[in-house]
Amino acid sequence: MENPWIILSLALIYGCLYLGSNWVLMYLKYKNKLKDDPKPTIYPSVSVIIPAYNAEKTIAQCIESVLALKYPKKIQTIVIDDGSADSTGKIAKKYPVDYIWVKHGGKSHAMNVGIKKTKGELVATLDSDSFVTPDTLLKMVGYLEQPDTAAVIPVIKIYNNGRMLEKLQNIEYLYGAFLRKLFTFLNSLFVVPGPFSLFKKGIFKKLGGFDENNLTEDMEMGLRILDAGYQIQSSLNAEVYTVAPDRLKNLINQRIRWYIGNLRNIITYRHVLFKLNDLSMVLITSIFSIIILLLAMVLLTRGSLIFANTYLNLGKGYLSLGPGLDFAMEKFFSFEYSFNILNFYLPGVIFTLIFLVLMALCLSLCFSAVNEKFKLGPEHLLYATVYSVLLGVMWATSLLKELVNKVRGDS
Amino acid sequence: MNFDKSIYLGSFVMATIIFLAGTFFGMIFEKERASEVSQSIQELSEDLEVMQLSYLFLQIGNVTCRDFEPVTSTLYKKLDELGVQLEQYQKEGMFERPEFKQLKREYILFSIRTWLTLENIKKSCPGEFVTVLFFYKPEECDDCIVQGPILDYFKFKHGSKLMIFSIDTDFDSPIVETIKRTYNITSTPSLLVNRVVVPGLAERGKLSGILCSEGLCLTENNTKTSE
Repeated sequence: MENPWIILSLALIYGCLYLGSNWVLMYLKYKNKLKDDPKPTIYPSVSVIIPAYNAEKTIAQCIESVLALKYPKKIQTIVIDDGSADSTGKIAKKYPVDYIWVKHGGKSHAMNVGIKKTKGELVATLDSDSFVTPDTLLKMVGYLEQPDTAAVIPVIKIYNNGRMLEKLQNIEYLYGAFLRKLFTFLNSLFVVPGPFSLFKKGIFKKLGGFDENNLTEDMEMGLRILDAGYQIQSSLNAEVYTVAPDRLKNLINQRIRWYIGNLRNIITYRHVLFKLNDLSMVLITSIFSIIILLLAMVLLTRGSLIFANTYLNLGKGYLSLGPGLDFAMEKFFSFEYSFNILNFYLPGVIFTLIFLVLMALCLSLCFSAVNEKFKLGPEHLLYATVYSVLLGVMWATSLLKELVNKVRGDS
Repeated sequence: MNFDKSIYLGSFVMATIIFLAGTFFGMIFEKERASEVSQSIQELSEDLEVMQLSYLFLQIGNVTCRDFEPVTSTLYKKLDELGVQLEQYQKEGMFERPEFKQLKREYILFSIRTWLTLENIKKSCPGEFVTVLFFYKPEECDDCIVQGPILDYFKFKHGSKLMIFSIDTDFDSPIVETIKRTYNITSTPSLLVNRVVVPGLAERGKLSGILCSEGLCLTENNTKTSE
């Protein structure tokens, strides 16, 4: 075939089919085990550390959610003020928490300082803009009774769920939690999300604290835990809410930071890819899905440019006719030719329809798995289309930015 | 290699099966489109034969120039719509591209045949209609796209008195080459209005003037209606 773009389009379709099949098969294999959390028989002591930087808007609600946790033992709460310039410290000191002030040195550093002061057998890290629900610990702590499990994570949901941008992120987060649960069945969950994660304190003694020079220290810690032979588990019944960016600009900045951090972590842990175990395959598949997303961006860009060029020139032609209202009328109101089903590129139309239906089905399965009601709305259509394009653009930007950095030698 | 092979192998199998099914469906669909075009060309050939027979009648004096109008206008309308359809099918085609290429060649030859027949009819019926050959390229020719609406406008204004045949110059058949050489046509887009060559983009004013000099003038003064 002479046309390379046709080959790329077919490759994209095949890639999507492969990833879709992957998801379907994983779901079918483990769908009956998704919501079973092991009942805890022992309740180790827990310390919650909350690194906070200029968090005056959310720190009160955050601390209050910790104090409302249902747990048979008293929970030690430590707030590490990372050199805030606002009234974070003043608010935190009003509560019965241990308060530590450090000079501003980043979240990882604050967490490492906090970990040293913890007295509990278990350490939970909680973001200052995140809120736990009373049952969170009870649903999660049972997983840690397994000797090779080093950490357990909940479902992260979006707290501010009003605007379209926030709704889209919520869908993304719920899908992410679902995917992470599937990974646990393959012993390959490789991230301990920043908003909330529960660790056995011993793991920090064995492997060290959080990487203080990392943009996404939660992924680095996750990979480090798995690389050392331990496991991370997940509960789909434990819910933690986090505040997401409500402005596009903030979302873009956040995601570029995340994606560059993820890229760097993958490169650091690239030796894992060659081990060809379950974790390798999960990582390889994740990288593959990013590649497919980027390929889709390339083809979409080319298609858009061609489309724009054609319609710009057509517009030029029409405008050059000057006032020709009778012609314009005829053009727009005459559909005299007979209807012919072959006029539409049926394979494309059918493929798109099937894709949208499957997407809706997938999302409804995700939602029910994380105990959320699914009501089909415009946000789901936007998620499958515009939002995915946005994510793709941000991935491409992060990749380019990192390449430019590497070439310049900044990193 | 100690990983859960069943999921990944299963995914390959599932994806391949669906992909092949889709490809198969795509091929059948495009073949259906191709056969639809082929049949249309077949029908048009029959219509053209009728027109050519009518021309022979004209030459022995049994038919007047007016009698041609219904025959030519239906033939031209079908030919024009088929051209648009074929262009779209060829552009969207993924699996049957050689098939559409061949059909394009047939269509171009058919257009030329129709045009030649009309040229001959014009000798006996001067001033009845104007024929135009529009030489274009489907890709990398922005002016060709701009020319489209302008030609559509005059088609709308003059109805069956103006017959425009679009010739895709990516298909260099000998007869197209002969025509281009005869009239010294070198660039795309180019128009051949009756015997007048108009190289490059023909804007509305320019084309209106040329059509008028060939006998097709716009009776209403469109430029005076300033809304």
